[in-house]
Amino acid sequence: MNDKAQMMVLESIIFAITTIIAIAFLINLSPSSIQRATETTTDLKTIGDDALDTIFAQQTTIKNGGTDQYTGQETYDPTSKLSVCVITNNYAELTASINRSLPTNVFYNVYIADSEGNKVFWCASTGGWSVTDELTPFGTVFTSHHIISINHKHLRVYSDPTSLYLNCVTYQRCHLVDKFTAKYTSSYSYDGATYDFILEMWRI
Amino acid sequence: MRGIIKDKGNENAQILVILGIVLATSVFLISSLASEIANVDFVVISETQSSLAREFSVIKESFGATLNYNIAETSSVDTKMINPLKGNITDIEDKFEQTRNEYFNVLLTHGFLFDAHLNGYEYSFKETGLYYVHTTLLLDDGNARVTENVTYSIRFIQY
Repeated sequence: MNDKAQMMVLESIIFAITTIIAIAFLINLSPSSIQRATETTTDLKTIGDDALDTIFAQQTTIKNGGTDQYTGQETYDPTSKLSVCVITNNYAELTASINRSLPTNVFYNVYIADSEGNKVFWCASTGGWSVTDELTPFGTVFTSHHIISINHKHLRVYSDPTSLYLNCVTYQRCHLVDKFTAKYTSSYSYDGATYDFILEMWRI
Repeated sequence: MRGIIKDKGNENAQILVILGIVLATSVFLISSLASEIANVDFVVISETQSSLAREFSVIKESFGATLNYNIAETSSVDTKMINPLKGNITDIEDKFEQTRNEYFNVLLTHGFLFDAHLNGYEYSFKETGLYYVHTTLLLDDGNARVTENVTYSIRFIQY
């Protein structure tokens, strides 16, 4: 009689354990409670970050016109391609580089901000760079950015206000200061070297 | 009498079998629960993690160049950049603070708190204008913080 009672107790224990295992298994099968962002919300920002990182990582050198007093060799300033595209107003190369990294259904505006909160439109995905070329965003806008350093002397050439002499080539002077001056005040005189390259993107 | 003994032996065997099953199931259950507990809170949202790391990497790459440009002044007669960057190493504390403030302002608009400390500087070859600047950079997004000692080499001709 005692043994039968023991058996019944053990059987009920086994039943309880089996039930617990079944419930645990079902809970394991159910979707995770952790909220993962959907593909469209994170993916585009990540792609934009990667695009800017890739262009920034393409280091180039700018011949700074000086010579090393010991070796006599010309000296260079190391600069990223992102900065050089801005300094030389190379909108076509900039948009082509960004377009190569983004899906074809993504449109964007590029803005450049200084560290004092002033922000100007630089160019759009269409390659247009005047104020009227700024595209109107559609739907959700995702923002990527990259800090760039720009040497003062690449922006303000005091004796020759129209041109910039860079790597033995004369370029039209960088539009950046003119754009800031046009949007804000004529006495705009930011003297820092820190600029924020902002990419605002949206899908169609 | 023999029948009773036989019954008793059978039931003992059954109990032993059932106890064995219970033991095996318990081991299985405990190991499953242990592995489940070990994974609790292990999953992180990758976007948040990578954006702080990515942001810090961007800052690390560009801070030195910005400091270099801030410390070196432009000559007003330097029409075609005949001269390389010129500056004065004694200005480094002011220029470092200027650079730090610029980064602080830019990063604040993106929800990051930035700070930097100047730990010291030394020149490699004073005549060639190559200096080593030792810094500590710090970036905080409210949830996590990254800090690192970074040494930059900056170059300019001393006035």
